[in-house]
Amino acid sequence: METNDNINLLLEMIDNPDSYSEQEIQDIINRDDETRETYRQLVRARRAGRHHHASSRPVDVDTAWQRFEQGHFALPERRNPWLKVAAAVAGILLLSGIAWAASLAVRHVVDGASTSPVPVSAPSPARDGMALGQPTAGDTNSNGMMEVTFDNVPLDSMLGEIADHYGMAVEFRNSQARQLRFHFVWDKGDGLEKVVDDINHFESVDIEQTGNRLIVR
Amino acid sequence: MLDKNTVEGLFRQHYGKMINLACTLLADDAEAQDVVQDVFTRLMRHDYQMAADKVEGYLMTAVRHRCLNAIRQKNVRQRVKELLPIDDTDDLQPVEQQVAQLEQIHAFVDTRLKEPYRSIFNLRFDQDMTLKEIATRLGMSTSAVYKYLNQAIQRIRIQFNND
Repeated sequence: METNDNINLLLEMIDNPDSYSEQEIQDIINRDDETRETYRQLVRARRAGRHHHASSRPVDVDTAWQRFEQGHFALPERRNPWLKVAAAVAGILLLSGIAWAASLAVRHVVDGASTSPVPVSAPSPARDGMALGQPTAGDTNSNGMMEVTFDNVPLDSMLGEIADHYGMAVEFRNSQARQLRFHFVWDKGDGLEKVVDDINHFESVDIEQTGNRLIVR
Repeated sequence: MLDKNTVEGLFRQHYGKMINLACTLLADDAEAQDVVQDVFTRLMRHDYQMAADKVEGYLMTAVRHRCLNAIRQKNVRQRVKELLPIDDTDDLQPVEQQVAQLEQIHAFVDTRLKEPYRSIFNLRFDQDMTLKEIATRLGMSTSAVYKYLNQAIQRIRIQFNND
């Protein structure tokens, strides 16, 4: 009888979750094994319904691919000639800026009392054009493994990618840590323990490996 | 980094199953689409070769990991609203096993539950109606709907007991 009451309370609560605090919701679901297992069954039932719907409707791969393509690959050139002109002007300005910066750097070295100017590399336009917050594939290391540079990337994204590589899940117990941004070079040849250790050297981060999870505190 | 043709080939080959899984595990289709796009973004950056027969398993597991992370970012109330798990018990099973069980549950409801159990179950879990809305729709008391739904759930629990 008591279990039935608990399950009825559970059913009432999932109809009106806004009427309960987070703690009350937890307490209702975990009141006893029967109630907890009933909640799991409710989740399976809802997922079964969603799976049925998802399986029976057509999938629009073309639209999804177009979205992905637009986000990651340069699209075919547009017809608008003004865009071409604008791009050319931007290119000229960029090259002029680089040349100007390089000449300034050389001049600075010369002015700095050296009689033989030291060549100074102009910054790479490709590198400078890289959007902040995007990890970039880098060079291979001595073991032939790729290094990935996370430049100003939130911990949330960075750790997600690293965890995927090692088959781990990430759990943030400190939600503020999600948006911490880092510059971090990840050598994919390194073991997970070393990578976690390296990231933990950042003052504001505490990551612990527990089983198949990385827990961020 | 994978070239565009390779990524497009993989995208067109695997997107259907991946979006299906993401829409199953998450309540929001837009969120599910973001997850799949994110998985391909990560795949694109991979530099190592993967055996062709491993790709689907990798992608499906990656979708599930991203869905789990998305679920973990929600508070308990939000998970309950969307009827999402509050622990990882089911999501530790292999993906194929998990999906097969969901299909079996749906088939069981369609073929083995009688009325009004089946209608109440479908209105709640296929159409996401509240129990009060179901009571109004079927002209029953709310307490009767609670009773039928609870009995339907317990029948499914007995049929698919994981313990």
